[in-house]
Amino acid sequence: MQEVSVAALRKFSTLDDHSAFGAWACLIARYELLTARRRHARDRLVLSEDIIAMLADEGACELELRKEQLQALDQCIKKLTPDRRELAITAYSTGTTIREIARKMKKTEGSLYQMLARIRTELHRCVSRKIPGASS
Amino acid sequence: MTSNNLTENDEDLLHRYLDGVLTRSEHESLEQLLRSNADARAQLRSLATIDAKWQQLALDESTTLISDAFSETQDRSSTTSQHERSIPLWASVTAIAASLVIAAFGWFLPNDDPAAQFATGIARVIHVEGQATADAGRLLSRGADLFAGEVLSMSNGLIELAFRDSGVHVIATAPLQVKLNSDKHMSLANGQVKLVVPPQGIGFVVDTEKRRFIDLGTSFVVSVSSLGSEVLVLDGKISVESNDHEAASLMNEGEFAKFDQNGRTKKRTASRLSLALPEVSAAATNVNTRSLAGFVVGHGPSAELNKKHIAEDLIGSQLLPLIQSGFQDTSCLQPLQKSEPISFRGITGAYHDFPQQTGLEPYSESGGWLSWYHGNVVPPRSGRYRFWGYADNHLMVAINGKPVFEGSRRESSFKKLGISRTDNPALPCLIAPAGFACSDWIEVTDQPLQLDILFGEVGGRITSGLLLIEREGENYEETFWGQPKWPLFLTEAPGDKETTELHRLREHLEEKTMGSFSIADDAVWKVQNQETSITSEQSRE
Repeated sequence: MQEVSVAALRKFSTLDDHSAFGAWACLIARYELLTARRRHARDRLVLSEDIIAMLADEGACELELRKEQLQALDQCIKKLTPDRRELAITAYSTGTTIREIARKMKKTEGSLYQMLARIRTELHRCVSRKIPGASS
Repeated sequence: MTSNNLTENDEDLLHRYLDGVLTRSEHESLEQLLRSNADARAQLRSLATIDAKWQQLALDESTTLISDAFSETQDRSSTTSQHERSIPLWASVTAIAASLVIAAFGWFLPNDDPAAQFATGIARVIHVEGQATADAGRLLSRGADLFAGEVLSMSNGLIELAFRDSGVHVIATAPLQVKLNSDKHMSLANGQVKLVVPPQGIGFVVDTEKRRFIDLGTSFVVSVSSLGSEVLVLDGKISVESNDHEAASLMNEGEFAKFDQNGRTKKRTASRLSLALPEVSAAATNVNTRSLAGFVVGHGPSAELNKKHIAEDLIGSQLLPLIQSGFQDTSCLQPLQKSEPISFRGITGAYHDFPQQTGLEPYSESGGWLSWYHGNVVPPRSGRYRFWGYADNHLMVAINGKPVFEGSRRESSFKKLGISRTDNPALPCLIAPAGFACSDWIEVTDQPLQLDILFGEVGGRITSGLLLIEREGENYEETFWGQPKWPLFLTEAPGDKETTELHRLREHLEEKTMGSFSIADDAVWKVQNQETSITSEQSRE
């Protein structure tokens, strides 16, 4: 789904009037999500349209919370050990596959996914402590 | 339990979804969880924001590497400070947007699936039949990218493309020569293209030598040959301009126009495609015990109902308890008007006069109507099947009381049931907003199963639909546009007169909407135990 994320990134980076973000967020979320869903519906397990609409609609109401969460994440990521931080950045880089990383680290793909899930959980807990309500 | 009323298993599902490693059954469990639990949706967005943050950091890192490669003299300390400073506003905005995207789709950490590889073209080949080439004779295959300014050529076959940013979907047939000027603009020198333009692609331009077609939110077909150009609007509207700055004109759904090689309009016809759709004769009223039985319901005549807005789906809402009870609790039908008993003859074509033909009248037209067919059937063969179709407005199929297919238009209350469906804008459809939908694969044996079909109208008199069935592993003949001609779903083989009518209807669909179907005896799901069917059950009430 990288192409969708990158499309979203590109569009938002060209947005001059940041105050228009709310409207943009709703539009981009709905259009990108539904278009991408149609594009990939044949290949992948994608969520149904009604769930995507719920995620987008509710997400549009949480924009302030998300901004705070991103700021808190800066601090939480700094608390990670360097090797965990490096692993996550490598895993989320375009052009790198989990299989390749697993081979290099001499681990199984499954264990790598578990490590990434643990990092995600740790960050989520850290953010929740800093911003009560970040996950609700 | 963990926080927010989510179990560890629930949280595990969310992580596995974001990693793109869910199995099909886990995916179903996740959908159930997300649909019913607002905390789970909030948690997914929250976790997705973390993924968006990593994505942003990874991008920053790669940008730094590229920048370093170009500037050996760059001061490393300034690079470091770049990482230290707080992220700019656009970056947080970007990450929030990305988190919404990721929450909906999962990040799908890079794997070896070629479909997941990042590419930079403006459009991508989804499907190709025959030999297609881009600039410098570059052969195009599935997944290939096309770049701005490239000319796509084919001498035979067809190609299916999706534009990356505008989301415009194109099927083009040979002989073909088309230039992809940009993400929102193509120039057609020769061939035929069918476009489906989503909202963000509005304004997409197809240029021909003498005419310019600008999409205003629609689906349309443009053909160019040495004799001139033609355009058919399948849905929505387009603006047509001449290249010598003659005033633009609008064309709406169903309109067809032909221009000669000098750009002069030779022919222009207007029709509402859905109104022009043939209505098969009312074979449904010839009730027998061989086909699935049913009846039509609607609200009785009421001045109050006539004041209601038609888009308010009264009839669909009324029948939700029936569906939710696995088609056991029929009490919601009590206040409704019923037609004479009818038999299932497939769903295809127009049903504008169906309430009158089946004896539902007098009823409240603005309150809509629904036909319910119910009984036990036996699949022709065991295996995996899926339903395809669409309806204006209601269409639903349930097996053993559980809804498995929903092909309704967006205003239908059936949407509330959250039945899994996949929309396929590539496939020609009379009523594009509904999309040509398909169900998940359904495994069946050769044992009888309970079948329930609901089809109908929210309100008014323009009703149409199509219900087809595909068996996994079967090969089906394809239309000009590449749509497999799946068989019409039937519970009894049609008689000679009916077959003739169905062929006429199919020809109309192929010619006017580029869609089609087939009629196959081995796709008939025969009725069993008719004595338990709806007619006898309901007649006892």
